[in-house]
Amino acid sequence: MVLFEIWNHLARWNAIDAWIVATGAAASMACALPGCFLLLRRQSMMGDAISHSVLPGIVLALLAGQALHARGWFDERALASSRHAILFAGAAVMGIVCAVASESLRRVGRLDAGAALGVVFTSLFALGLLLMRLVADTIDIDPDCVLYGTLENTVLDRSGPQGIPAAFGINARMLCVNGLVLTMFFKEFRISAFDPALARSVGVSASAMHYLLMALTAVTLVTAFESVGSILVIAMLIVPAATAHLLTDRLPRMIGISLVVAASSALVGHALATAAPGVLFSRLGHPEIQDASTSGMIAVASGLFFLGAALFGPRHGIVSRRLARARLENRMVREDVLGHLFRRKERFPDAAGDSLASIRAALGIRVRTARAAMGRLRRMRWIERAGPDWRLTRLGEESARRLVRSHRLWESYLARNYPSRGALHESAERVEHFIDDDLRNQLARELDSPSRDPHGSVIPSDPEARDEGDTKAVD
Amino acid sequence: MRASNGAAARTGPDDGRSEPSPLSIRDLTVAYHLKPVIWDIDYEAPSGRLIAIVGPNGAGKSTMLAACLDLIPRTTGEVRIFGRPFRSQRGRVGYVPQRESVDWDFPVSALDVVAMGLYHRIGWCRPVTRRYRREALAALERVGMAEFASRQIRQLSGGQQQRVFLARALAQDADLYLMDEPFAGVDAATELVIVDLLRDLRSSGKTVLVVHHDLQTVEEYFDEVVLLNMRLVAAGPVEQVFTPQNLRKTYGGRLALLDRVGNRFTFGPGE
Amino acid sequence: MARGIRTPRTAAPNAARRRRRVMFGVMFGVMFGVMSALIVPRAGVARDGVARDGERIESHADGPADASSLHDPFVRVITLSDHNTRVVLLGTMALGASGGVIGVFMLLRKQTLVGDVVSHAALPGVAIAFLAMEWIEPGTGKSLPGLLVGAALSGIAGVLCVQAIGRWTRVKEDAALAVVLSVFFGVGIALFTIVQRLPSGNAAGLAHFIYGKAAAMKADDVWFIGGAAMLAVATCAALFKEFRLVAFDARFAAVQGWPVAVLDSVLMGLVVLICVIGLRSVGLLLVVAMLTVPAAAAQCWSERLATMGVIAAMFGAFGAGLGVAISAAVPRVATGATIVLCGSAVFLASLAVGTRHGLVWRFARAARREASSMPSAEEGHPGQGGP
Repeated sequence: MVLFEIWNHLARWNAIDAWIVATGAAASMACALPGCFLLLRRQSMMGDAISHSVLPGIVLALLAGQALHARGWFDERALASSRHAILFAGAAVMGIVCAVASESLRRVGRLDAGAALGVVFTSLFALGLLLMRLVADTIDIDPDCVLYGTLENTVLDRSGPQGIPAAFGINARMLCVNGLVLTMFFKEFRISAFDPALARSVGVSASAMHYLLMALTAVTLVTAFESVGSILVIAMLIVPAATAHLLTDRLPRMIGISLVVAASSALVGHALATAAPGVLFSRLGHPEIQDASTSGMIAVASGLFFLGAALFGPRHGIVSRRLARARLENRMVREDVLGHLFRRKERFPDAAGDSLASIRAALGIRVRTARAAMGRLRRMRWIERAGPDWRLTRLGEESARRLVRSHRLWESYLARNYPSRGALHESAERVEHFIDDDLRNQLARELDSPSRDPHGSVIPSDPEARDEGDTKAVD
Repeated sequence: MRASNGAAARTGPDDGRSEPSPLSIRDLTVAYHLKPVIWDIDYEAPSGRLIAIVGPNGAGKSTMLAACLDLIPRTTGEVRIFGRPFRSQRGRVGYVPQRESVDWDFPVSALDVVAMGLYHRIGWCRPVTRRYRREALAALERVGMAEFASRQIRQLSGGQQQRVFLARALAQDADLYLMDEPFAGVDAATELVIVDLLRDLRSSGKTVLVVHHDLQTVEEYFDEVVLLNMRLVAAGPVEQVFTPQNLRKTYGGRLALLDRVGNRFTFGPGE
Repeated sequence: MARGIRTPRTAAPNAARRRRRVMFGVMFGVMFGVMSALIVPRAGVARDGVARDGERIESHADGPADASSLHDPFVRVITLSDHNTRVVLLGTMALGASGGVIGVFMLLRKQTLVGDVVSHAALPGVAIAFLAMEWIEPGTGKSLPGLLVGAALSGIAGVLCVQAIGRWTRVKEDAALAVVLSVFFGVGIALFTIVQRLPSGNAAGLAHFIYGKAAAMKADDVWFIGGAAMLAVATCAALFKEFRLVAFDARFAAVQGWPVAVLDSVLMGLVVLICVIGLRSVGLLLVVAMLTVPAAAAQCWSERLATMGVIAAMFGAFGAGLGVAISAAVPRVATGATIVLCGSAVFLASLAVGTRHGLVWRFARAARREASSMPSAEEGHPGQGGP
């Protein structure tokens, strides 16, 4: 029912909606590129600061354009056609001013970096707001639009060739420029983000790259301003990059993922904007509410992607880490069961096996944990039933032998190298699960293949040495 | 003044029976991001001695102190201060943090810093009254810094800064002192002051553990030494333990195997 | 060795102290002059204002254009003949003072930008509170306490999100701030567009939360803001010692058994309080400046925390008062932006002539050193006690 309603909303999309998504995606992707580097340089809040600081730059630049026009240097057409160039110049200058000012405040005024940024960008932004209000009617700029952006309206201006919205054209071009600059200076950006000192030593000026990045960020932000507004643009700048950072460790892949996230959040954002409010508010008794701000929803969508990555990212996600931890714990319990059965068989060679209850008591685990471990071990054919008891199969015995060998080798190693009072067994109990064939061999070599551990127990020989059967580590 | 009286009062009746060790560590393992930093440390500090903790960079010396002070979670093991958990013994432990961790531009004077050692006695929401200020000044006097009491800490030399932080620990009037590299970056004069101070503390029955990096002075300054490199290599009286062989074991690079195991290792339950 | 370095070192602070006294005098003289011009009404005009108080409250001078008045608008503001302006001025100054005090602790705890996150994250709270109140009983949506409670709750949620991201993921703190700030603001903007489409939702009032509109303040609001500001300052005074310890050396505080997390939460709570009461007058875009700018300016003056707090409070109050006065007198000037710019002017002045490391003194010292290093000039300046 709900799904059908949502589908109904989405089915009403037309060319305008397509252009909205395309423009949003272009702006978002253009922002994501410098965003990745800002994030890695831990200057995300610098992005925030720049997006606030460019405001007076824009206003002043437009005023300057007007002044030139008034003097007769520019005619109407030249002014209109160079509007973006003027904006970019103003923005780039202000972006650099913001970066330089906060840096010098930090150094000269001994201010904390965050506070320096806070002082600079609030002052510049306040100046911009004031100027904008004062001269709003002499220049063509809408204060609300600067703050929130109205993506829905900007695409209506289809003055580009073949009816392509001008906003899409300019954002797509910005995307290309960013892509080009970052490809050209990829090496330099990477090295100066990773290690400025190293960059300097190989002849890359880290500060030049820094200011290039700041200027690029400022210009990109201004381009996206008209569509999404000066604050939501921070979402486009940082959130896709942060999402990608959660998903991968490699820079090229991170940039790729951030682009995908950027584009998808534009799509999902517009879908949310057109479908969600209608579906929700018709149930709350307000059927007249059908849509919400697309630029706001793009930020929401990218936030959702970020949340998803934080929870379910394959390696660093919170849920995935929990699962991996649980899998590890299960494996450790299974191996402990194997070790217990092996040692028991060592001590009582004639006993058939051990009961579940006594295994549980020996390992101090809960019934459910024990049942799960035994079930899995049985399916792996490492243990089998012997009447009411459980015993190791031949396959299981080999694994257990390796495990106990690891355990006792480690004890011998510790005893030889470190004085300790009885923590040997506890340490080996933990470490035994992490010693693979390679390490085991190295331990044996280093200890000259001892036959007994410090407690006097026999160290079982390596199963591989006797037969070259399939010897996979447990799980 | 107070310090010596307090110590005398405490040690007096205790002379007959043996008090539990000032610091006893059992099976202590600490992991950052699931990788072990220190492993299976077992150590019992003898009472009334000056003890150096020695080891290469990254050996986990500061980590060990932090774990003893409940500043970072322990993966396994337990720490007892005078036979009880640290939580119930805070008043008896003085701590001198590493110099790098301090924001020197912070608007506090030397006296303010020393008074911080008294805050837990002053209690919630009460101001630092004159009585406490006088006490803090006395502590500054003991390290020869009384005349700099009103200086902002940036305006002191490195050695003077270190002395201020020692004075803060002194003001706490503790029985066990844990000091993280107090000799790092100090001038010769301060080094002498600190050594005198340490001996002073020892003679009034205090136990002092010092993370130390200068191997040349270990034998001269300390009674006991703890050699640490991820694991406890050796611990005991300087003349027995501070041998070339043990030092080679501590500083001769981490044993390759230990490193490899450590890299593979992640902590399962409990972390 | 100790004796060798003592003489010049003790000499320097004396000179600095003298200079500080003089500069304090000048700075506060200027501020006092300006403020007294604002606060002390000229006798005749004051009588006029008092007589008209009753009607002024209703007439709600939302700007200077009041045809009934014979006075020039600027004179009216300057002389506080307007009851309304007086109310706004008092409220905003209380806000500025308390923001300055809290800001000092935030500055020293190096968490200034958290204030920015709180204020931006408050936007969805305002919109949700409006929607909820309209849904429960249409027409009550604009009740200020409800909106502020919503703002506070979502501001707190924003801070918690930042902390959760820092704790559970590998995203660094600065990125966490930017992510939370922009996503919450996005939610807020989306909800705002919805609010505007409600038939009853004359959302014009809500937009004031973004830009701030001090002029819309009423006497009740001032009581509320004043109370909150008092609460914030009183908490800071009571926990002064604890806040100082945690900001200076959190590890040591933890070793001593002070609940660092609790104290940090209390400070965060105060930040939320300041941001929320500042939303109405300064607007969420710029309220962080109330926390940042006066504190940063105060840092240029003093090496004692208590003094810094007092100075920051004065600067905050001064900047806020001056900003309100100017914005009330000059048409089309947003209050929030003006307050911030006045604060920035104070900051720039402090940066230049502040006694702690003011640029002017630094240049002077450099020039002197240059002069004394020249052989001919050396005898000309016998008073130089340089080492």
